Amino acid sequence: MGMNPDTLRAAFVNLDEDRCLALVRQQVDAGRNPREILEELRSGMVEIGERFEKSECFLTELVMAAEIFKGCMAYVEPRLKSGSVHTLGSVVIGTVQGDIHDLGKNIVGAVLTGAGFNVHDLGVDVPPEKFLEKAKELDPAVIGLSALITTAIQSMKLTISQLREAGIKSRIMIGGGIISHDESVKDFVGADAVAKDAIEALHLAQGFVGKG
Amino acid sequence: MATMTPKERVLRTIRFEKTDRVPIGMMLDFSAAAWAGMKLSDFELQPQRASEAVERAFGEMGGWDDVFPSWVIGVVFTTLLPLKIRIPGVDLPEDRPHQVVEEPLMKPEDYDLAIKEGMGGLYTELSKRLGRKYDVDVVIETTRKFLPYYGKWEKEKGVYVGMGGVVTIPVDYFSMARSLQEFSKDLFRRPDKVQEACDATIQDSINLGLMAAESVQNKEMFIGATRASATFMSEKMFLRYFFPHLKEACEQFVNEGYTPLLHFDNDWTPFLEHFLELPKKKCILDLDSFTDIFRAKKVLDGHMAIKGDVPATLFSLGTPAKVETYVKKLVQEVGEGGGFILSSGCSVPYDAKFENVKAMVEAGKKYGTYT
Repeated sequence: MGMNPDTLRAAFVNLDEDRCLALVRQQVDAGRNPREILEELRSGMVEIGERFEKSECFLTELVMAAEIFKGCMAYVEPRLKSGSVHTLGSVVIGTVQGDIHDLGKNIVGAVLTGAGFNVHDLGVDVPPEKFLEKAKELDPAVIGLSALITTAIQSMKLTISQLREAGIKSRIMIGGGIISHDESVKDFVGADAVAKDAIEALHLAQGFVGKG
Repeated sequence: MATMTPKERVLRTIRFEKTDRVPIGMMLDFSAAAWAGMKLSDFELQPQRASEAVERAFGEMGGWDDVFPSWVIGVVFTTLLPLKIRIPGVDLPEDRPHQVVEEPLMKPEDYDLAIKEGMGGLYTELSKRLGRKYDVDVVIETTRKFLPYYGKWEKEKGVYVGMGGVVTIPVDYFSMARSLQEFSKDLFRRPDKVQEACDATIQDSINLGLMAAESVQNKEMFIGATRASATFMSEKMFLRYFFPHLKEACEQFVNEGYTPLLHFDNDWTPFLEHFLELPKKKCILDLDSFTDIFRAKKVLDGHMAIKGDVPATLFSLGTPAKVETYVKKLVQEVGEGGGFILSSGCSVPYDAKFENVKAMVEAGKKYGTYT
């Protein structure tokens, strides 16, 4: 009855969407604990992340993995009892004001969600006040600021200084395009860390919550 | 060695022939408007104003060799490219350069449209969705308006104008029109369809590039790509969906007497060896600082000229001294023995400091001399 956990994980790692969705349905219907299914999918996501780091898979595969994860979760999530799933903590992400690029941010959001973080995505062109408002509301472990164009670097700096002035203690990581490529940007804007890709963002976030 | 004209310097570099110094280029666009105190909407939509802004910077920096025709890009971006684009002064504040909205303008079933009607048919349909008119006459009429500027820069200043036709290899185009996320899924959900559409439209893409280049009478064919780089794709995908079409395009352009400029953003380092299959001493690889340019030199030396790659952040956050240090390393290592055009890595960013860009030009002249 498709109860072999290796099979779902293997289908996930092979990015076999149809087989993954079929297996998840089968297993849920057969009464397998949805939390176990979720854990298995997460472990597949970790494997994809490791392959990405070894350059055995690329952004295209990462996007597809996140898509399959989302598709499976649509079936699993309604069956999870609230509070039964352990989350690693809250993360607030967004593309800073003045920039509307969202590719990188979306992938980071999907990967962090897949790994067990509770991700709140504020979207693009997000003013500092909106980050601050959400940070006050959630007291997130991590805030992730994204930008692609150099003109948004000033906006990143402004956002971080407003968050810090308001006493927000969350760890702040930045990333996106050229920004990830140049360490000096991190110091210039006053971030705690810079991620060069989505998997590094995941490791940083895990480190910030002590699960690295 | 006798002093050369800027154009000779560039052409000889492409052929790996001796020159007096490393030629200098830069992709200067919106920052020229900022330095000239010009409204971005004027720069984007009025070729005359854009040309003036670049000319002013050109004069103040003592000139360079390879001039990017930024008088075309605003019009090309905002009227010809079938992508959803936010425009300064229209849907963005005056002081913000245009930005491409990553939305799936193209639907999965449009691959069939491309296969049946070609790239022109797809362009027409997508332009219609954006509320724009697109057909071959509009393109020719628009690009012909640029001709006087090309003539002026080439004749009056003797420079090499680096970009005549603009070509997008189909897979890169589909990735933009579908959005990266949707396109990534297409590569798993309908890989054969994507490939069929790529195969079916490459000749159209080549023809559109030739048509544009002819209308401005310029011999450099700008092939822009980013989505087939190793930042996004595996080598297997690169070899299936991109490289055969790139090779076909380069070979046809070279046969027609054009110089393909491979304006390749993001990281292509793992794929560099494949570029040895492209026509020898006929193309330029233009890098934006994400590809390892020093590795590119090792792999492609004697085969393909390299252009690049002063990073955007160095222009916006660096200092003239930092720029000078990087340029010195570039011209001495990548420029060794020729085959190198010093340039900005992709565009000079909008918030670039004038003195940092000037420092690139000056350092290029100072350290780039060949004896």
